[in-house]
Amino acid sequence: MTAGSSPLPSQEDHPRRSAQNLKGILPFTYVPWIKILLFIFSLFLFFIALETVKTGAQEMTGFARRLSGVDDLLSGIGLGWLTSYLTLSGSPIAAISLTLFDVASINEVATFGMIVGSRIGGSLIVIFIGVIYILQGHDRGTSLLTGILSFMVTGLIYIPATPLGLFLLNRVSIPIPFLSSSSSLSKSPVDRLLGPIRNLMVTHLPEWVIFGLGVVLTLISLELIDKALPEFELEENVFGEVPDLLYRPLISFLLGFAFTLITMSVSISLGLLVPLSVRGYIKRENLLPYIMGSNISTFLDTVIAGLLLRNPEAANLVLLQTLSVTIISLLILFFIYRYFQKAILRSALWMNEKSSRLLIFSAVLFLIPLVLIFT
Amino acid sequence: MQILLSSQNTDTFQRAVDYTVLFAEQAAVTLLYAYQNDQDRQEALDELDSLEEKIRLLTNCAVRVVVREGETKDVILDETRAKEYDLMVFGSPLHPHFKNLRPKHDARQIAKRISIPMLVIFAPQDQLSRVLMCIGGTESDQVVLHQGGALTAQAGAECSILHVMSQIPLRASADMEDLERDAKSLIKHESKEGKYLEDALESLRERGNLSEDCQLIVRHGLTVEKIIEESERGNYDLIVIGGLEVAPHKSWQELRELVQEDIADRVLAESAKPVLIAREPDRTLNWKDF
Repeated sequence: MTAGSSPLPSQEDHPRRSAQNLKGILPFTYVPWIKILLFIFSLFLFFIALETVKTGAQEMTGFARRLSGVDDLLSGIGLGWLTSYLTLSGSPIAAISLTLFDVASINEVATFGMIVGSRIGGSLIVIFIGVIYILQGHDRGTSLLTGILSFMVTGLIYIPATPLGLFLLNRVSIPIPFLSSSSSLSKSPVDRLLGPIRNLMVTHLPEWVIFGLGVVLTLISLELIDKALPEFELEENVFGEVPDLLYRPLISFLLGFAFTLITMSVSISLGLLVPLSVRGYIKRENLLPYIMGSNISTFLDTVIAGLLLRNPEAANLVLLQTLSVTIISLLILFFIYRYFQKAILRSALWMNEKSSRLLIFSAVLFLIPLVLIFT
Repeated sequence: MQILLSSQNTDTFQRAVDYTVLFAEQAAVTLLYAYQNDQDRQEALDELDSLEEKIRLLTNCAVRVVVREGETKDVILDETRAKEYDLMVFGSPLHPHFKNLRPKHDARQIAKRISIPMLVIFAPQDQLSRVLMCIGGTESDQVVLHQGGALTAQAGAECSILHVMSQIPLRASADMEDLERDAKSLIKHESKEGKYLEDALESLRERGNLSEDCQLIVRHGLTVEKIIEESERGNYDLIVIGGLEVAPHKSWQELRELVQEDIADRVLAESAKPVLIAREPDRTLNWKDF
């Protein structure tokens, strides 16, 4: 970086790098056993949660019928989008939609749509929180701009990625060696453990309670997974001395991909960027490709859900969705990135300029999923 | 003051000469031409003679003509390695419709590899009265101010110092106001940028005896876009920007090009204005040398 955007240096911003500054980027200097155990437990709980959702959905005879209205792409997108508002995150909805697909409550295309909707809805949470912040009388939320950008990037990539994904879905099957149609849960050791619990639930609890319990467990388990992952508290001067490393779009893209792969959460991954600047700023040139990279690896927990369900079709669906988002992201990055960047940044800044625009924008974003579901 | 002046063809050579005479009064100028065949060589020599005459007529510079066989960029880089120059002036063709296409490629390639300040002239330019110096809070800022100030003083031009704030807030506690303020307001509120800009102006005055009306400008947006926009809006005759240091090994250079964004290169690619890529050479360019 030779001109322009880097935070202006001062002695206090750039103290000498010390051993203490490296805290957090050397995660293997000690073994965090508690975190490892928590991670294993969280994964196990996630597995139980998915099984519980599945059991609840299987037992609810009317449930499949109620969801029979969700049988196409648009209604799937609408449902995934709207329900992710309720859970304040896209990941649980993506996992639950796969589970519903596993028990045939919704079809493949609707599942695809639900996952797309969950990701779009998930990226909107930040905007809604910001709007509430404004309505409470605060200045325009400073984090709002990041939220708007995140939503726009997600939307503009997922829209072309969806038809591509559906095209691939009908033609490509990604082989997953340890998953086959015959590997039924009923024969597994896990089933021997879960079987009695499941029978107990089915006998004593109404089916809708089982389903609700499964949803709650999914939320809790994903929250626990977040907590179990390593915390990266990078000192600002560690990266502050090499801010340009984040500058090439491809490098920012790869970092966004890698950090989100490790943290399994776009918001946590974005939080890792905060220490890049003492004042909580980030160069706009760096942010967009970072979000684009994050949007790909954020599929990891949904891929895990697909694998835990031991359903090759479900796993294939998520992998193809990831692949299609990756293809579109790379095409944008390599061919039209500069135009894409300018257009998105201008639109986001325009939107963030006035509170009235934000309110209208938020209202429209609430209406869109409703329209998608009910038309 | 040693100036190396070169280009790929006689038209662009002419532009480079026309621009150089606007600021070079008593320098030693070398006109370097890379020829491909004997016919090309003979034609170039005739043209270079007239350019030599023109420089002598308009300035007090000492001029010599050097012609070598080979690719322009290789010949230039070899020459700057073999002999000490303070400034390289390159006349680059400009594609009439697509600015990023092949004709500018050589200028960008040379700019990435040359280790002395490089001034690139694209379109015919007959005046040097407004200079835009771009700083970004990096080490190269002092070189930008030093070399840009030297040229500005020598040409008797007006100058502006531009800082583009491309940051956006990432967390709620970030100070949004600093990201919206103009230069005056940043100075008034004693923000980091404000203090830095004031220091830059002071440094420029000390070095270049510049007029009091040198402006400080702060723009908010994408760095390259705002630099180009400001250069057009303010009708500047020269953009001065810091170049990345040339890496000692080719592999390091290639790795850095892959990883690190080069703002100066992108300004070269996107602007049709003359661009001075300031670099700290072994022998520092000083305005007193002119």
